[in-house]
Amino acid sequence: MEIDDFFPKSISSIKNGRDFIGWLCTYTPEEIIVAGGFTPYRMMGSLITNKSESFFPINFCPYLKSAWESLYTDRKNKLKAIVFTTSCDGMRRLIDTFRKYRPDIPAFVLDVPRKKDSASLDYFRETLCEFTRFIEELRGQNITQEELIRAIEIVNKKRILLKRLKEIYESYFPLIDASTYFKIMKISMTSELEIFVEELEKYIDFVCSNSFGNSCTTNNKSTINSWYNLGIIGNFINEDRLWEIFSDLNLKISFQDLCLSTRYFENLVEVASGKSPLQSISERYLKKPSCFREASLGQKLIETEKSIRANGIDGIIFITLKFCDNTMYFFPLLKKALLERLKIPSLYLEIEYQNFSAGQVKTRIQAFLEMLEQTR
Amino acid sequence: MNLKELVKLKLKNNLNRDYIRKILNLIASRPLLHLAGSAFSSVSDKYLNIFSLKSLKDAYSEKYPVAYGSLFLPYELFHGLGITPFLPEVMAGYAAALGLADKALKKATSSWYSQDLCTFHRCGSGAVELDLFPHPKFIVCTNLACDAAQK
Repeated sequence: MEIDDFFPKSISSIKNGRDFIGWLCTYTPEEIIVAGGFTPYRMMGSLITNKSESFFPINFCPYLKSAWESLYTDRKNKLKAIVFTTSCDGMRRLIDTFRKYRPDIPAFVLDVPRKKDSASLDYFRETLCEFTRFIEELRGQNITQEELIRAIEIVNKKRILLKRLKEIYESYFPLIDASTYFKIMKISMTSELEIFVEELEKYIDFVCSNSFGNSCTTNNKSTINSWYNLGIIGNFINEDRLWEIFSDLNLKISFQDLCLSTRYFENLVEVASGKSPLQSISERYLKKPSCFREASLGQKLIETEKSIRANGIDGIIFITLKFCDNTMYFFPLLKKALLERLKIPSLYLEIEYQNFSAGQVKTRIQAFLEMLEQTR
Repeated sequence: MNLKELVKLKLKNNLNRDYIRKILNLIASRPLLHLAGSAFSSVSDKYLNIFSLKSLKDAYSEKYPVAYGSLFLPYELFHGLGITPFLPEVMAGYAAALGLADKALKKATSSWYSQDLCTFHRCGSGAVELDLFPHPKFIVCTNLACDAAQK
């Protein structure tokens, strides 16, 4: 069975379902969108970029160019509004371009702080209040406290299931391969929430109960030593052919730090009495695993080193989309730490978005594996 | 060979902080700066250059606390507190004018900075790797201009 056979309703839910609100960065609070009765939908962009090349320079984020291609050319979808974040310079230029050339679609710009201190949390909470008002205006109705709490519950449930999937992928390798895992991640961002949660629950039950004839328990954890424990660090790597290479080479990813995975679903919104839901949402989003855009790369490095040691990583594959300054400035720091303190090799890959030299990348990964073999 | 070309050649052959300090002590001296007054296009240009060179001389002298900063910071606060500001990205411009940028850029590339990154910041990063800048007490930055400045 193909993975699409396990998520048929999720995959078709966007075409057939409610109006959706597009987003481009994992700092976008899906809870508020869901509470407003809309479906949050991550803009995956177009496979081919033609028109967007005339709007942006060559050395511009390829993901944002791809997103603009679909926003500019696809005028038949159910996109009700779009949420931008002040993630990076590229996003801010996309905002300017969007406002000029697509004024017909309501847009909200979420100003996301780059620090996690109390002043930043308070500021972000205020920004989320404005965002809530934007959604309420679109809806034509206020969002109640109960609706917001219910939305938090369902989004948290999705996160818990995605985390469970990640645990199965990492601990019971090769029960689920990289290609399948990241396809599910993509579906999680581009489908109706309740439908996806229901299908993911069934999928996890199926995987656990049908493989090896036993449920996924500690006793059945992968004990095969021939695989290397690899870590992947990067930004928004939405490239099916890359994950197919990982599957072909039987690569075990024991640690992942990507916008498509852990930075999307780690940490839950913790609703507590005495704390407003928006305050809880603000805390969850600002305190989730750090992104490279944050002010302190030093703090990000500490977190990364901790995770690498905790997972017994043999090698790191650092993958970035081209022209992403925030991500590319992190690599020299990481490389130094990997060489001097952690003493593990790394592979640096810069790729385009949806325009990928699969053969070349596969050769480089194979060479990296040979390097790991020699250092074993 | 004029004075500027001589300074460029000397720096290229002795690229280290101590030599930069010696050159600054020489060219930022009051008699020399005021002597070169006629070389500037205007009086304000002259005093801007005098101020910049004096500020650089202070930064390299190790007598005053130095803070690195990026563009669009309120440097009045720095000066008011007796802190000498030092802007790596502006120094990258100086390095280019003195023909030293290629060494700094090569160093940055060999230190794993991608060649797609902004040349100003890459040059500044390379110069830091080469230990050409005075050591700061602290760093203040803002992303108002761009992400790379903050990084």
